Amino acid sequence: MIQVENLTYRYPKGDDHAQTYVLDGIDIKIQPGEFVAVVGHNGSGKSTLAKHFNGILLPAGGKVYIDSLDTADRALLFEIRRRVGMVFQNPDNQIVATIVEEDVAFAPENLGVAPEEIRRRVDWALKAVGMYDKRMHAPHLLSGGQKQRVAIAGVLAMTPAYIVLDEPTAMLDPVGRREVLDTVLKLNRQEHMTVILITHFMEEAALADRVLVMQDGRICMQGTPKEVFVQARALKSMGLDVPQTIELMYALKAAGLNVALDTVTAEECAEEIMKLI
Amino acid sequence: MIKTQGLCHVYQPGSPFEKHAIEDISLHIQKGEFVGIIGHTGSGKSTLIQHFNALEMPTSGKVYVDGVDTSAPKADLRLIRRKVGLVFQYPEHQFMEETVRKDIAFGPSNLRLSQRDIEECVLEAAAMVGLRPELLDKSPFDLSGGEKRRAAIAGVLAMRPGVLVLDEPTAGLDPAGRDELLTRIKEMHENGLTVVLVSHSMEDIAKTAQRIIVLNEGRIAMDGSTAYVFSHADELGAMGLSVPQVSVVMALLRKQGVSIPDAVYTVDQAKRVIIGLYNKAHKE
Amino acid sequence: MLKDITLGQYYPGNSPVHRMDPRLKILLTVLYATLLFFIKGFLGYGVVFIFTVGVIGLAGIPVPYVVRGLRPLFFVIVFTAAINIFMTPGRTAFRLFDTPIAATHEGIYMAVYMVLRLSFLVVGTSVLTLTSSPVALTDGLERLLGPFKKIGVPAHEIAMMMSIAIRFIPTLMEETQKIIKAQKARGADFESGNIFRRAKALTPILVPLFMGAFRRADELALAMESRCYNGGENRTRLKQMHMTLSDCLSAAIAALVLAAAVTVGYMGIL
Repeated sequence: MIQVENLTYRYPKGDDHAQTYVLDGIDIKIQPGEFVAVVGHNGSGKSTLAKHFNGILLPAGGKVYIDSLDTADRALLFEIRRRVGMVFQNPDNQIVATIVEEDVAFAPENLGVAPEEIRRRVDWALKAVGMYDKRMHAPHLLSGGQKQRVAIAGVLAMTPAYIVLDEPTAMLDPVGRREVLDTVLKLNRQEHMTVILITHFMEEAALADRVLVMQDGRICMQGTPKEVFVQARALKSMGLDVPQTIELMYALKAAGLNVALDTVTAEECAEEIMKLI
Repeated sequence: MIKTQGLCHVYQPGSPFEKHAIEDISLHIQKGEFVGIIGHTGSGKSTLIQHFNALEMPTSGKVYVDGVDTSAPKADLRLIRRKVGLVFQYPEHQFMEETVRKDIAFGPSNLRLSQRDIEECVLEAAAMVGLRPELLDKSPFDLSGGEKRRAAIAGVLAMRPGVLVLDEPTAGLDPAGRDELLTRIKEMHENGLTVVLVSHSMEDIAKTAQRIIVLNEGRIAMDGSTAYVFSHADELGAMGLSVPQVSVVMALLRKQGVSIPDAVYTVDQAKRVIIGLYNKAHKE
Repeated sequence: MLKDITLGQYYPGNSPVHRMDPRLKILLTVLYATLLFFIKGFLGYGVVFIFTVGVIGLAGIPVPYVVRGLRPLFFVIVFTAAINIFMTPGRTAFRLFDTPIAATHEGIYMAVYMVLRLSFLVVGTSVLTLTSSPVALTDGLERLLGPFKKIGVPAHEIAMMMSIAIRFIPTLMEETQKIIKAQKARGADFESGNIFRRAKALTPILVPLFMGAFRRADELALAMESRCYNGGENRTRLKQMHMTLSDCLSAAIAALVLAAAVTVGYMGIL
């Protein structure tokens, strides 16, 4: 379980924003096996929060516990990083090696895992993300979505319990975006990996079990995707999108029609409209 | 404004890496149009738009900008590049000056304008993208994500192009940054600028473009009004492209036998159509 | 331009040369490069020639492909030859257009040697990089330098730097192309003007390129830390290196052939 208790953070002095809190009193509990999406506009603090999950940043106030291990305890740093795998936005800038399988092996090599075990993990991780066939390829010749899947495999090779993805699809085209999301969903559903997905794409957040909405360093809304999306007006005022299906229902309601507002998928939306006409 | 005839481009011809990026593209972009170009990665979009400002030259076929053949030996490439302003993906990665003002001025100073004219171009371009004047003296690296993008686009606008070609201008922006930028681009179009928008965000294209050109495997697969193209959801799907969610809902309703016109691809249009249907159903 | 550099570009294959332990290959290349400077007489070069061509053949790489690697160095070689021909004192062979600049017999002799040496040096070392993947090379280097860690040689760090550089060269090349195009779209002119103007015109390319490289470095460091990177301490490797008996035997044979090439020169034959 991941527990965040009254977490505050501000960037070290010397920076312009020294006095404003980037994170301001955050409390979260994430259960094993959960798929949590964190949404918020740029500067809402969502990336800063992500960096607290594996001890890249340490709390200025409050605590972050990973399976009851305190991230502020330097002695536990590598164990925490092993348990919480982190995938970043730019697929190019997280691949270290010149061959796919060598890159996936990077983390277990760092952890001093025995060579036969590394081999086993690398093969497993590459199969889990569907990149086993490309294991001998040079990463720079892969597509964006493929690179990002290699990056996910590189994290899986640590056998983590949690995967944090910080806007992993922001730089990808629709095909790459789908590849990455399918991979993430598969890991959550089949491998029971706990997933924390930071994103500003609402259609991605719609896949999660729970959505946290961040604004000004606080969590200002949370619930199932439906519970969050129906608050379309509040989301819009925070500079966030709502799925078009919900936007349409809001427009109809505003025009005086009696419709349900929680139609996340196109099917639900069409069904609701059929009731009207 | 821009016209291509049988345009083909082959990368590394004759080598084992030979690649036909675009084949037999004939199109005509008129002054004042807002054209969206869609296609998945590798469909030839980037290669095509780099022909519009003579950064790439046709392997065969022709490109005319304002009637001038870009591959003619005497063609003034710098003039063509001034007329067709091309904004690459992530243009903020090309910042190089210590202030936003100087960075925007890079284009006009390459045109060897007078200091006063340059300053005028800079202010005008900054206003077009809605950049507050006090930001001009900041370092471009200190701006927010959305501001950086808009400042970089101003760097191209400062050359006063007749056509603005943008490659994925909203990539990586958050919804607020994206909406702000799209509003500005629409405004520029209303003020007379011809715009070509390359994007794989169907929602962005639906909100802005009047005409859509669909590229698939280097060829034009569809070229028509936005309504026409989005009503062909199945064909787009087969090319690995998606349509806006509203179009999907409308298609589902059509399958149920509801009569809905083709030209419904934004939330607003859908709302009007459904209210119309509702009123009709409840009158009877 | 940059594409012509054969040096450093891995030519995949599964020949005995490809399979040889990279540590031995590195050592043999060092030996080869050193001994080239001790070879005297054309018979010695003849032996080297046969050896080099033999190894290239064994590796299954077309000889013209390897020789192409000399192209970027063409001017260096011509320049070295010219300096030698005209600057070596000795008996005048001919004069250049009736000027006092004279070519000497000794100079021509020296020039031929120099050209041979340089060409063999480039071709020989490119055989190393052509037949070993970057990973194998950096791994081999790290392990060869391993024993020197005690005297403060940062073996792991050197290898890691090399491998990251190799990993990012294609990425940065692509980025450079993109920056050049984007700046051209803003009216930048890289083709005309004198050398100073052109050098100045590079600023709009270099600044974004370096800013980009720093940004990448920052993000890469974060990603590496997140994957528990902690320097070379207690690191294991996916691939183990095995020096087989046939590896050692071929290395010994190669070393002997090279030694023979040196000796023939001193024996006064030819």
